[in-house]
Amino acid sequence: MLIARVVHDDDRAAFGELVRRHQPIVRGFLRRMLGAPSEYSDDVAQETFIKAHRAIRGFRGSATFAAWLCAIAANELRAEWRRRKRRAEFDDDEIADALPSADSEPGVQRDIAAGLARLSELQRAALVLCYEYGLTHEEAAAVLGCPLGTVKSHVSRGKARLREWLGCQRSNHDRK
Amino acid sequence: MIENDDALERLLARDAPRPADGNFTQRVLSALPPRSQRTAGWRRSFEMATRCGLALALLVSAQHWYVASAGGADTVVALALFLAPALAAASRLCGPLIPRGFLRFFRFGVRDWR
Repeated sequence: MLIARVVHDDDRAAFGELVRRHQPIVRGFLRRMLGAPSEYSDDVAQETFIKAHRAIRGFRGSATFAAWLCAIAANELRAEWRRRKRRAEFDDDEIADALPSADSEPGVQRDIAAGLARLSELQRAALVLCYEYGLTHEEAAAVLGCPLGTVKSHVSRGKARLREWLGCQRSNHDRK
Repeated sequence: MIENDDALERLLARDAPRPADGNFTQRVLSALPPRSQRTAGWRRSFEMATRCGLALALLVSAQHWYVASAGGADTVVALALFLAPALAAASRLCGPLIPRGFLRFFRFGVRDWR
């Protein structure tokens, strides 16, 4: 309904509502992929929504709107990387800039962010999309432009490496 | 801490960053093009057609040069020396002469994750 209002009437209020509903997933995904500072990933998120507004007539509803937005965000991410020729190498302090949820331990938050940053870009993107933001493997495959089997294998390897990393961090914390 | 994959999945779902604020929404809305600029699609098509035309003109002039000259390896080298900087300069000034989507087609759908 909101999408139809944007397409037919260029209703800015309806588009604002779409931005309000979907910004957590788009900004969160980009923040996980680009790290801190958050202003940097928010600039890419803004560009994502502007591109989505321009292309919304092409949205056919074969995927969810969130998955469609994530695909645009992934394209913007690649373009940003190409532009800045910036390898996704972040230090732990920058990674921990991601917003913690109210009931989580800050240490765990920090460890997860650092662990995710140590994965390959595709492993991280697959884990973030599938488990942090609830996309199906099929949707993640469409977003990342990979075959389904490749995404499943990235998810599996990513989970193993992340568990290993979190286990090591836990041992280090216990020793201290 | 993380006994199995289920625990890890729950942890990831719980601790995902979900930034949301009204300022961001306002920022996006104010950055949208005004309604009168609905012809942006036509402008983009025109720009792309101009770039393609420019690329074609360079290639055709190179072909004429080749035909007009005696031909041979030295002509090919001279053409390459002319075409490479000419195409690079044109791409630099006008944007990519060949649309990225077209190039992606020949990479069989593989995305560039570096």
